[in-house]
Amino acid sequence: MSELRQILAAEFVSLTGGLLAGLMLSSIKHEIALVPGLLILLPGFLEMRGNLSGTLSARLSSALHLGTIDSLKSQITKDYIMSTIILTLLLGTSLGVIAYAANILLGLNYPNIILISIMASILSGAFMIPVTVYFVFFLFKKGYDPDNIMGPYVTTIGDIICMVSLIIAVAIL
Amino acid sequence: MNKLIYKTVKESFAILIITSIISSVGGFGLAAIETKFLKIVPLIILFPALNDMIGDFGTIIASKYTTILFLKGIKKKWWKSKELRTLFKNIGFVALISALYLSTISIFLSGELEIKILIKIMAITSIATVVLTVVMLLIAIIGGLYVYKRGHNPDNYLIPMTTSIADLTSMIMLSILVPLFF
Repeated sequence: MSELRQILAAEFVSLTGGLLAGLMLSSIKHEIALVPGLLILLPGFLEMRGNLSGTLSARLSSALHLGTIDSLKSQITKDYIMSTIILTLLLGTSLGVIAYAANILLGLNYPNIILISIMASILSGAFMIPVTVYFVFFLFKKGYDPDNIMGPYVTTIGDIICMVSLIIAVAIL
Repeated sequence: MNKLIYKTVKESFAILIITSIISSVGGFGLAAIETKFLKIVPLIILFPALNDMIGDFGTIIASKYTTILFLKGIKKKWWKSKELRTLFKNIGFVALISALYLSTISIFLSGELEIKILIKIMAITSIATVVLTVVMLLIAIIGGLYVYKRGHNPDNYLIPMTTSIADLTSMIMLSILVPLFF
């Protein structure tokens, strides 16, 4: 019953956040349409952020359950964080290149989409990685199972942060 | 670069880039019903939440299943596992409640307070949720067993796999269900 409550509570927050992201999406649809390739980049970008934070959270959670890490200062924790930073940069660049390639196929030429993707990846990662790590340890120490809670939270927060990061990157570039 | 960082990046990169591409392909599917989709305001509002919800179930199932695999190993008949049965029941219940919550709130937020639209939105959300939750469960278990048996860490594969397939299939489901109901 406790597990059901944990999942239900996390999902309620996630759905409410998702509805908020939906309202945000509908309000910026005209701006998004002005940047060639952004619509192609958007789903993959949202997916990437959720996946990176989700896998980081799952790795830390499994390690905590197995007892191979016990604090933020453990070497394994630091290695998992560093892996996520490297993956953020690699994937941000790759997604930008893919969006640019799709642009060219559609007869458009907007190379800035690569920079937008890299900058938005760095911005969203700078927020999401510390938040994910902190909450996994916090929840585990409080006796909750991060596996039940983190997934919904990181995808929802990730969606909102990604939208904000993309808007900032588009505005700057 | 130390061994664990190299292993994690190496195991994760390919699957993450593939899953991001799969999600982008899903975006093209949604674009195919763009005109109809943009006319139904409650659908625009609930779309990210619906997408997230299916991805959330994929993430919960995948990470719980990975922990079960690490702690208790593989059972020959996974469907007889007590932990998995509890997980199925919990996810099923949460899926049903979530679908009802999502459709009702999106109607209120859109301001289109019509019973006919509410029923249609509820039907689309419920059908999509039930079908996609079952798909997520099967992918997590079959994929998890496959990866675990090969000596890899399922945490590096399962979540990206289930969430991207959730993205793609939910967009496919919407592109089928929306023209059917509207």
